[in-house]
Amino acid sequence: MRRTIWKAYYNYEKEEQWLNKMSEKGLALVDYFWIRYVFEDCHPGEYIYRIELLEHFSNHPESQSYLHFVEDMDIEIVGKWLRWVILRKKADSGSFDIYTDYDSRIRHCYRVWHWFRFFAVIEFICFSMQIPAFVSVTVADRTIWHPYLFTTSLLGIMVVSFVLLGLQFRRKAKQYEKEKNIYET
Amino acid sequence: MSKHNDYGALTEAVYYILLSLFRPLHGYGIMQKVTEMSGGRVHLGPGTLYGALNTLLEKGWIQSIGMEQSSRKKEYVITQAGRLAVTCEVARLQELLEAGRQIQEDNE
Repeated sequence: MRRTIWKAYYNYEKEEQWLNKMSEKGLALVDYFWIRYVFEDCHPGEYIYRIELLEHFSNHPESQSYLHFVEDMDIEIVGKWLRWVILRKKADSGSFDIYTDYDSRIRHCYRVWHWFRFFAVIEFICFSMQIPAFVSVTVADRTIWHPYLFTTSLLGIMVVSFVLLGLQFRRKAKQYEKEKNIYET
Repeated sequence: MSKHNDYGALTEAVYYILLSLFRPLHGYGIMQKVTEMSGGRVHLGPGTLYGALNTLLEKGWIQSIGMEQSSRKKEYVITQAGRLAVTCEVARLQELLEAGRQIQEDNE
């Protein structure tokens, strides 16, 4: 029996936790696109899910080469969106982690930080472009209660959210870098 | 410094990957062999393994030898340069082990 859930996640780690919780409850993700998740019944805990941000878009030759490799390891690609992929593996074949040493984990954390930083910059540019409009309407109407307040604030909030979220991953990378002084894995 | 120090210390993952490729293997096989050789201690994630294999290919320590007959998976095997790297690494590990044993004995 299929179930479709619409949910917007920004933090991929929380998203991954959710998918694994669903799997434990007997619902396995079988299809994914952007904010649309399709589940099918499964044995509780049958699958382990992992989410990864690739270096390139999923249709890039480099990504294709990596994804073919991953499929050869008995890992299923459940869905792709932009540079994000959701992978799953059967739990009875052992543990499943994409990165198992600090170097690769650090690289992935920085990749995620850069992803959020990029969008924060885009949003900030849009935000800055809105400011003159916001100001002139405020002065003209002598009130801040107009549509530009909504759009400007929304953009401002998005900039801050992306930066804060991205910084979490940058912090994680720094922690891993410290651990790397002592351990390889 | 001895001539054998052309090679630095290998990571555990790379060392085990090289050892597993004394016979040709595909990606999944490498992962299983490494887990087996390490007594279940070392698990290589696909992301880590993919990166390491590409680096080893670039260095010429392993080579890809086309598809395995039955399953069309790409296989890899160690090269002469790779074998030399393993030899140096084993010597380095032996040195580490000796030093550790000696110090522990002297300070019992």
